[in-house]
Amino acid sequence: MRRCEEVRELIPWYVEGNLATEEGADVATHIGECAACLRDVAAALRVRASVHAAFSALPLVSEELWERVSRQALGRRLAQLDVGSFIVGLRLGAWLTRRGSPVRADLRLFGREVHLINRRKGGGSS
Amino acid sequence: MLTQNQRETGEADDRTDRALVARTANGDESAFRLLYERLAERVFRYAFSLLHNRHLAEEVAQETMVVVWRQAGKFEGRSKVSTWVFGIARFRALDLLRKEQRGARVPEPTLAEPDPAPAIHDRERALGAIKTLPEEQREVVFLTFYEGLSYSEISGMLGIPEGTVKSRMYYARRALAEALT
Repeated sequence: MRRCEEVRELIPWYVEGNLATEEGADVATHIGECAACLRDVAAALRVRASVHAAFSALPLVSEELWERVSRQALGRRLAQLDVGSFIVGLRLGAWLTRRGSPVRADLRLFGREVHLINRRKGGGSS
Repeated sequence: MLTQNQRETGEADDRTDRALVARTANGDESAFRLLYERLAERVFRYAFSLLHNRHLAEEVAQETMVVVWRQAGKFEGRSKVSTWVFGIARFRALDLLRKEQRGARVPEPTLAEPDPAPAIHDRERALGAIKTLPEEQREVVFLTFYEGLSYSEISGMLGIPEGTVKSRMYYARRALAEALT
């Protein structure tokens, strides 16, 4: 049977259900027979609940964050041509980013976009 | 404790993330937007747990997601997507921390004013207790109890031995239990 010190180090991941099957079974066996470690499980659960509540209460990211990310990552649209309908269509676009001027082409099928061309910096395409 | 269903949900979430990263690597903006929706908030909270500053945590979340867009094609799939993304965020956050410590940046006041409502008071108290932990312990607490990472995943992500992860957690838990009693 594992020693108490060894078990107590594993208890945080035991209460998270994040131990390998055999290791979890070892800990469960030990705490079934050790009142002190069982109390430690209860204490770990209380700490876990407090930590979870504290981090869950943190402020949310601002709504503008996506705008900033998309401007930096995807760039500013220079031109876009859209033909066809919602069911079947083709979109061609050119963007300006800090890393060049990518060109993209997407085929639209039943509302879902399928990538045809994506030329990024250095002429790489997919 | 985590149930089999929760574990399966976590695995399914990672499969979804991997599919989105693969599409993002091909320049699929809608996939990148979905990835952002799934990860940006978590990255922000992780960065906040390290920096305790909303403005800087948003900066980290922004830079991390831009790196995800640019580096999606280099993701090798050896870890969970979230572990990879947190690794990027950690690097950015620690870089900002170093700049802040050198006085290159001025931190801003961050935590919300205490509210008299008991539940909010408890959360503020818990946040206050977490804030007193050394940064390396705070991080392990966040990754274990909020993100649900295993000690081996944390060890891989932080580049430290598993024993160090366990001992950081042990001391953090002892300090938190005392502060929250």
